[in-house]
Amino acid sequence: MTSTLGRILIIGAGQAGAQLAVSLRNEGHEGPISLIGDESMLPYERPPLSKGFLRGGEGEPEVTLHPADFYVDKRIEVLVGRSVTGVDTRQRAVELDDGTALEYDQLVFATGAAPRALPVEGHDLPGVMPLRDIEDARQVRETLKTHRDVVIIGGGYVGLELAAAARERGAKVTVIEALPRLLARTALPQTAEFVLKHHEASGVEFRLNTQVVGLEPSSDGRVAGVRVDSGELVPAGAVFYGIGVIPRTELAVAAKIEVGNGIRVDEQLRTSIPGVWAIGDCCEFPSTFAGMNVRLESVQNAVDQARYLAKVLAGTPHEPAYAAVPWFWSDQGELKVQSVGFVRDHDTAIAVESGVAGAFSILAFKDNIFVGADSVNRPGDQVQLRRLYGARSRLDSFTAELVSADGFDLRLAVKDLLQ
Amino acid sequence: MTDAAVITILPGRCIGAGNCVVEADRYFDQGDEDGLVVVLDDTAPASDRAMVERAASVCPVAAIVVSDSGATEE
Repeated sequence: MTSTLGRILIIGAGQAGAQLAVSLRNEGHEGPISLIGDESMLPYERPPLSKGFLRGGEGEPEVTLHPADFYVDKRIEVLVGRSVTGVDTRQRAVELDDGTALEYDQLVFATGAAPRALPVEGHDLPGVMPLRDIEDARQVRETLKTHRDVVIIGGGYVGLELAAAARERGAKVTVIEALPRLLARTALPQTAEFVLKHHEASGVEFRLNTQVVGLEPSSDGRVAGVRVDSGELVPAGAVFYGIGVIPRTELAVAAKIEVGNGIRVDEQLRTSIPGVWAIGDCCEFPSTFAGMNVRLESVQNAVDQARYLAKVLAGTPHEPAYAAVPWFWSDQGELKVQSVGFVRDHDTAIAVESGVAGAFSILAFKDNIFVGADSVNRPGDQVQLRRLYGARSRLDSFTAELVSADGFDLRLAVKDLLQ
Repeated sequence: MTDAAVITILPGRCIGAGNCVVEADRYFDQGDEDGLVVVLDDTAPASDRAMVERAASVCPVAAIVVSDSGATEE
């Protein structure tokens, strides 16, 4: 596929970019590897930013993935605080914001995604902030020290993790969600309902099916409240929002690389232009599990695509198509929610109880094919469910009936089916 | 010359991805109840060092540390 001596340039030093660099060395690529990131820090983990990072206490929790000498040892050049301003796919070169031109043999977009902006008046008032990168998280962390009335816009995973963290810090928390339910894009309705009750019990207030009309300032110019479509003004000393992300595709578009809902790649993560690839949150890829093109925002997808592409680029044995099992997790205070597969499109959902209150899994089927599952406080189930999901194409006997039968035992079923 | 290795897990980081088990199932497993990493053998001979380092390098949260067996005895 490629020369093991060629230079591989990775745009984006997040989870996907960093993993690709490391995995390329694992796969025996010997040529130069450059990782270019526009943030000032070495590659770090984003998931903790809406979780443990927001807890009180002195000092900032450590989120960097590897220390600087790790990259030195592996001969990975990490350029942080630099952004790429242009890509010339014909000359195989990129230009950086300081004017430097860098040539490449293979170019990988791992540019990630940016938070979707609040489309209402007052979105830029002091005290209103998204949560995506570490600078955002530092701001949220600081803000939680002083502001007691917190409004969170968006009832997805980021919003709910923020809600749990803000409650833990003693804030009064209201979550506003435009749709009639929480986690509409990612979890089963039953899971969302349980999560709602859980947060309500811990004191979070919810306004579901509620549109934000505008953010209103106090006399000092700082945000003071969120006006919603019922006319109510929800008081707010701080407003955090997590209403989805937009893949960072501007550079790819400018370079005439095909872009749909993300940089479009084939089953081997190749873009429409030779020598250019894309992985992680920024790319749209054909999913054998979903049966269509999808774009996923998860650590799992970032890491697994990076590992797959490393094999393709290094020319080591690999599957003919990227087909890692998609999974996801969220920690919200006491609640651990995990998902596998694509549960949005299903016709049957069956709860498998654990015998412990508040700990269960829900398995989803469509036309009697296992399409995914959520687990709440049942991480052991998820290990089994990922294995089942990965093997589902050869598991005709794993049906909704089997799961609903008296005495169904997930662990035994997996043992039985996958032996 | 590579040395024998000692495997340590940074507490509180594991998310149960299971990537380490795929790379080195002689050294890593996932707990039945929590799906979190279980170290089956925390010392690896030099001949297995590359394998356990590879397992550490595919951990999405960098929870696995592989160090020289001599260095930890200070």
